[in-house]
Amino acid sequence: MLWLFLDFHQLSLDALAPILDKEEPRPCVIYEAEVNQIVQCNSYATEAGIEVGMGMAQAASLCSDLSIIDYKVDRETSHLKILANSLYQLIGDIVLIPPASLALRLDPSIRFYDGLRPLCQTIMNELNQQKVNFHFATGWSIESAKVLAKAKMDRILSDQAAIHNALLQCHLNQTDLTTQQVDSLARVGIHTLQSLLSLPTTEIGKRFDNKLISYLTALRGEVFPTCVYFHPEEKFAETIEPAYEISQTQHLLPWVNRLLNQLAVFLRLRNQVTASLTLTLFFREKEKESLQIGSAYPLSLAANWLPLFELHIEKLTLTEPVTALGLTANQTEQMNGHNSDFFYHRFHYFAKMQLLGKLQAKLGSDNVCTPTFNNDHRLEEASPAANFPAFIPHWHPLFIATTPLPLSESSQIQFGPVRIQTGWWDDQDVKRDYFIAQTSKGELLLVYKSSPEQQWFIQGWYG
Amino acid sequence: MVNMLYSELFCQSNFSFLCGASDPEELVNTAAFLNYQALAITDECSVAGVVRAHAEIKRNRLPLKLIIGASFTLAEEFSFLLLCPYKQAYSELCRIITNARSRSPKGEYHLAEWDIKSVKHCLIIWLPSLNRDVNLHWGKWLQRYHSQRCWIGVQRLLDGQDHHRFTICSDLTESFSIPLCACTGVLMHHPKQLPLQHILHAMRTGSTVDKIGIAALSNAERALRPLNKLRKLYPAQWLYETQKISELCQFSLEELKYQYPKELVPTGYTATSYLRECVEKGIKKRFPEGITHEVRQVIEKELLLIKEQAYEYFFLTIYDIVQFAQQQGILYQGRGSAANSVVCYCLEITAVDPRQINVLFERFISKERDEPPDIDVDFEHEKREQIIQYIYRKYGRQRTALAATVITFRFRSAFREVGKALGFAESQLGYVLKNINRRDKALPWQSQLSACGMDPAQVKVKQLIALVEQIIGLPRHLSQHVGGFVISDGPLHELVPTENTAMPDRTVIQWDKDDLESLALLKVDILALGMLTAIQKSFHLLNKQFPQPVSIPFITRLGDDRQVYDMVCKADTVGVFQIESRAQMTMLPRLKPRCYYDLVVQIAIVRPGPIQGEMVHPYLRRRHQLDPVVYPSKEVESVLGRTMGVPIFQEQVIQLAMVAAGFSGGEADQLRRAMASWKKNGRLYEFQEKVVSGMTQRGYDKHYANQIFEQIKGFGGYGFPEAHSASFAVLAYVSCWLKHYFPVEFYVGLLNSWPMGFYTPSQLVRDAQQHNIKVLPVCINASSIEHEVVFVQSEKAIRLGFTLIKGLSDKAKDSIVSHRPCEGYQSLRQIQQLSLSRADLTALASANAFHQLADNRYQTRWEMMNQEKNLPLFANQDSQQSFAFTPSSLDNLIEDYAATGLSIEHHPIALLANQRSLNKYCWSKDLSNKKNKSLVRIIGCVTGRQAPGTASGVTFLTLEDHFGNINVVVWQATARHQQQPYLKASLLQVDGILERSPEGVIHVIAGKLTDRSDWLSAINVPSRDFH
Amino acid sequence: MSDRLTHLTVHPHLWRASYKTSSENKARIPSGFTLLDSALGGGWPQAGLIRLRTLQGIGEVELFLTLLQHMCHPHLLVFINPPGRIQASWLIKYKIEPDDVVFLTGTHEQNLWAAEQCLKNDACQIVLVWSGQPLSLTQARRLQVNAKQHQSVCILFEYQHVLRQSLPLELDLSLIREQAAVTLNIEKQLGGWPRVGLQLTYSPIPSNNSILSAFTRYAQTYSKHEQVS
Repeated sequence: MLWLFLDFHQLSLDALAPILDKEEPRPCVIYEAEVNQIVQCNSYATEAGIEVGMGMAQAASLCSDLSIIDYKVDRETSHLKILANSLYQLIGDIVLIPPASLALRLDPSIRFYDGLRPLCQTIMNELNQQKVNFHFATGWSIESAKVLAKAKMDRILSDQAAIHNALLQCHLNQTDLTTQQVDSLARVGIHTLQSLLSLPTTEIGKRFDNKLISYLTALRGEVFPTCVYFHPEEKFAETIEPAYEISQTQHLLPWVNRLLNQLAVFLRLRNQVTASLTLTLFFREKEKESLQIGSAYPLSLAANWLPLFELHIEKLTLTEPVTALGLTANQTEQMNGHNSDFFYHRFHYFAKMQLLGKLQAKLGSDNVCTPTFNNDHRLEEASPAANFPAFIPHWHPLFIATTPLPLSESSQIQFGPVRIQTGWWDDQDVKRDYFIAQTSKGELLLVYKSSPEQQWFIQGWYG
Repeated sequence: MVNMLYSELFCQSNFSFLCGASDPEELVNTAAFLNYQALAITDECSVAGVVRAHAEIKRNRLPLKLIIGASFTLAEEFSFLLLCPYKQAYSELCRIITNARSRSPKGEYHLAEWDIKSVKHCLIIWLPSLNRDVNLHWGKWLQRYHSQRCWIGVQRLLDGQDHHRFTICSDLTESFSIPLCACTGVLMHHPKQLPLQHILHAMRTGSTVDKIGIAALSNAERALRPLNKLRKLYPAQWLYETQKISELCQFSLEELKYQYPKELVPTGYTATSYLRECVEKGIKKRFPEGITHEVRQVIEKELLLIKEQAYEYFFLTIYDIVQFAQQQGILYQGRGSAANSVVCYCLEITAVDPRQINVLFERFISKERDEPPDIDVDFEHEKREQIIQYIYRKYGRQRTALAATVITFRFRSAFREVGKALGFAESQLGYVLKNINRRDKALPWQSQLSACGMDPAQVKVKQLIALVEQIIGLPRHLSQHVGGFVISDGPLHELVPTENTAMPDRTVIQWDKDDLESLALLKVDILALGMLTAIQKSFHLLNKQFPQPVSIPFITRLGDDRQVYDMVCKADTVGVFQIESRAQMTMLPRLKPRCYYDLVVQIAIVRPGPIQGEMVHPYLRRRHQLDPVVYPSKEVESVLGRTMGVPIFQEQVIQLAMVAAGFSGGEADQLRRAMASWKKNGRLYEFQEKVVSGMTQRGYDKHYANQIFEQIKGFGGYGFPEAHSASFAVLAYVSCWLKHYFPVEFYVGLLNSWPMGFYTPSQLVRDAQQHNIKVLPVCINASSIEHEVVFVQSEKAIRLGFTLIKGLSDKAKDSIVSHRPCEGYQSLRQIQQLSLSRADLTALASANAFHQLADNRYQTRWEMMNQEKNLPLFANQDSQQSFAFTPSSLDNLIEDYAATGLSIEHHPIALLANQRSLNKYCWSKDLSNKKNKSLVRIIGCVTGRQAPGTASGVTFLTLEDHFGNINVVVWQATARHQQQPYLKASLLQVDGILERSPEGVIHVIAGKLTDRSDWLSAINVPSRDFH
Repeated sequence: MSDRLTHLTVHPHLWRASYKTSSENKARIPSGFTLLDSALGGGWPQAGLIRLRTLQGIGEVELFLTLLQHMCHPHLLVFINPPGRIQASWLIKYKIEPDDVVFLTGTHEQNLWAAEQCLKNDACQIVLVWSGQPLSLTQARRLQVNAKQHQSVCILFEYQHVLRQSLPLELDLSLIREQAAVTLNIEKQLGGWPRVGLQLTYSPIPSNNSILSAFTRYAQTYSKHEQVS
């Protein structure tokens, strides 16, 4: 058995690299808050004297204009999956080791590439194309290859003896031993694998648990623990982090197109179709937004989906730049004639979706909307809906004028005042007394007097 | 209705934590300004804010009556207020609050229906909900139980629900004939506090200001509103009703009289007669040879004064506690202004013979200053809990509790929480907080923001700054005072409600020490002091050797010992009380203390107060006759005479105000309070005009008056009281005396009381070795649990004990010592038979405790890790031959530090010296024979970084080599652009200039810093940074 | 002869002048006003085009409240070209789920196209349309036919300034308000007589009465029943 171990030691940084380099290059680190440690730092940061494992206070004091990004395990793992997907086309036997390593079993594929050298070369080309930094090494088992990769050997060795004595030089903290184990061995003067492996396993057995013993045997290549090989997803759900943050909607289209093509490939392989997709937009600070895009009848080709997406995207307004896009296929069915086993509720859901789809496509999605509860005292502010409002203001009218109209007729006050004096945190600071007045013609209007000009305005009607 | 009378009955201060936005002081001042008749402070299930309101009214003589009350909500549906018409009602309110608070964890309360059903005296104001059936239920209930003393409070808040409230309340008064009255539910004293209230609301609900939505206040109507506006909002009769209710409320906090625990005075005695008897008994003990007529006169004068002020019980309470400590053999010491009196000396509260310090005599309780007596009692820090349990046992949980401390918003918590509430990202706030240098005097934090990426021009950042400034000092929650006990005769909750604290079985009253002081209720401070433990342990060691028992009075009676002061002047004071820090060590050779009072000054002078007030330099010049000592007047001389005309102590500054600026006793006390808290509320400036004009009228020139006020401001909260400094000076002298005459017992006492003081055990052991005291390592056969004094060839030495070994369990320590055969353990297996845990065995091995049995500690540890070894079956097998690792001297050093935190044989630099040629380095002991201003290259482990807040931003580094310590001075510029070595190095090489002050104090002014940590990468020498 | 007559009388689209025996009256939804229900033969029709000429803000939508509440969940309630932004709090106050409501605005043609689409779609049973211009005969007929065919209701709100046209409608109404009461005229109704001057009293707004009455009642400062504790 021959394994290639790939250790992507700064995967998060590489994943964000295209975005960061767009701005002027400056020191940047990935920081893990729970353990208060810098886990990855780019070249500029290392120049400023910052090392992996340092605390935030020390790092910040060493370099003032440091840009800090929180370490997110799931983002790094999702990027790892993208790499695995890209390598899956070249070699079938891939083992995913989250959060940032892959192990590839080389020996079964050597004959397809007629030789170890060309096989490794194609793998290296693919990884360089993905623009990720990594250390690598080969070994007779995943564990041995991993130790050598952690020791940054960066050479392809296939002959057993060379691998063996390379292993012996490695320090214990490059192995998978727990820190307590490494520490208690150091306290008896054992620092390298060579000294550890020189001790009879029976003696080690008396002093350590058998998990360590099985690890050492795997390291020696005497036994091969089973491992789970990587297979691409069953249900289509892909996210793409564009090279730079997108603030204009039309720049979204090329990335959506890439996702649709991946969807098309996924569906074609499985001879499936789908009738509704969800496009999710990720932002830096705001929660993510998702758009339901349904089609009257199930589609699979990217070309069919694209116009519907274009319809939606044109009318989208981005309040914040988009950092990532996700596409998921909600239900996929086999492509076999028109299946009509809808029962009432599903029928109703589709009828509703169909109607909305048609109306939005025709009138534009921001002209077709649902009233949301305005969780803000200021009537004009359309704030995000509150799912369970504290109380229902009973004095609110049915219709609110988005831009208040000057009141011309004389009218009599029936109710009020209701004083609204809030919103100091954004620049729509409001200090207003609302009244309900009835005009000579009987109209019931929500009115207020604007402070400087002392002019009455109509804010709403009691329809 | 021109002179409409109105009282606001429903008002919450910011002691309703994270809800009210104004201080009790702001509320009463504004209410008086709007000429309300009365204001009720009704915080939620708490009376924590009422005393401050009461004190503010008294201080400014406001024409406003304060009504004491509290607001409650039962089962989220029945909200009401309780107001106190007279004293019994107040006790009833305290009882209800105490019960409600005792049923739930800290900060919460749980009301039971029975609590309110049993109300007999309090007036009830019901605040009906908007739910009809809930109101019907409680309306019937109130009519049945409290029909005579119940009102319905109607709020007019212009929030679109007023018409509902008016309809509901009118219906309720019809069906249950409960009268209506107007109320607001005030949460702020002025509408401009609304943003702060919104921020507090966001913090309480853990969300951001824009997301709290319609749950937040829609306007600022819940503020104190002018009378003409109220007249338009409420019908006249409801407003008049509030006046009728306020006339029913006559209770004032003045009526709370402190009743002392009666059992202190045995039957057949009055407090005065019993006190006299105790004093007489004390005289025989303290003055065996009898007292002179003059001392007798002083005692009589003091007793008379105590009688007039009725403070007998205060002294008897402390006398009783101190007697208990004596019986238990616990060392203690009383300190504070009332402590420096003969009566206290006779009652054995203080250990200082007042004849020695007669200079402090006349500052006993001064009648005209009307200050409550202030005595704190320090106990050995390991025995303090015994004293606390004694107090609880003696007086019972009902009659004693700890005073509260109000935890307020500090800068860091304020900045982080306000930022979060405004919607800033947490990682950004954390980053900025890490980069703001709060010690930078030149640049305030507000202007440092732009450097950390926050553009001050942005609206949001301006709001952040304004709100953080507003919120600093706001109360956040109640916590327990470190040692302030309140003891009363009757149940305490007749006087003040108590509530639970985070610590189990500790209750705290809802008032803090300032509240107690303003109501002249007395508290006793029970504090812990590490040095007392160390001195006591040294005394035990000495009393084993000498017949004459050594005690503090025994040493102080010997008078000022020249040799001891020589040692102090050489700054050989590592381990000594109060004068051991770096900054003190540089001051000692300059000040050269020669007598007890010099020590009192030395302790007080190296503190931020005198440093910021620039009093240190002038004092030193006058002490060494470099400047003439001149006093602008006789009165100033009487106050500043003993410190050569330079104010050092807090009392001196206050006396100056009385003597030079004509302050009355009461005003002086206000000045003292203002000084202590001016950093928070800036009230000190009101006194500036008073001080300057007072002094200029009395003929002092304006410049001198302003200079005095600057010194008062410099003192701020930091001025150290002379009384406390005097008591500390006693302990400082005793520890110097012990260090000079009995160094071995002194070090052992210190090591056994660690953690305490300024230095680590490693530094203490090194200092002992530098005083050529032999220190023997931990040994399985020779050591006991504690460190010990042992005799090696008839010379005293220190034997380190098992407590030194990190990770060794107490069980293991006991079993090693108790099972040790008289001839000691002969083989490792004997120890393994003790069935100690594996962690214990490996810890002992790494500390090389088995060096008598086996020299290779790696080998022994490897043996100890073997589990089967102690199973009898495998006893005989021996399989060491396969283990072939022996530690080098560097490995041993690393193991020493890892296992015990210090190393006796090797010093890192010594090891380094024999590994590399270090001849171009100058060692600490050779610095003294280098020329002043000569260039030197030194190297050492960095054991301390200290930035003593001097204006110039200088920091002190302490480098330790195998001969001693070197003080390195690093200018701000040098630190700033050589940041990496300055911050990161644990082994540092410094090329700099040697500077020797006229008094012989040596510093190296750092030029080039080089980080040599990689030479000794494995050892982590602990460094005490920026404490 | 009589059998042919009886055959005619039973035909759904023929009425005798004196009484209504048409089959749908049992499918009527009571409006909550007895006077109006009797005039309409039981209440609001469940299908067809209704026109209301009215002013803006006199409770014109609240008039149809029971109809809206009945035709709503789980179907959609669609507002086309409403005069302002719809307040969710008003809907929740009257127990209408905001998620079941959709509002849209477009050009006049787009609005009518949208109304037609909604009437035809099974997911929606009631559509409210505001129109600033008079509908042509054909446009009104298309709406009426679609509504009848798919058993859904379309209410057309026309403001005074719109020229009145007679249109093929299920029900033609006009509304004016004085103070707390309104006057409703049934200009024309399919299968029933027109009725003029129906007085309905309802008010869509809260009032200050409880506050004003409190001021009058509690004006004096002496209180009648002295409270002594």
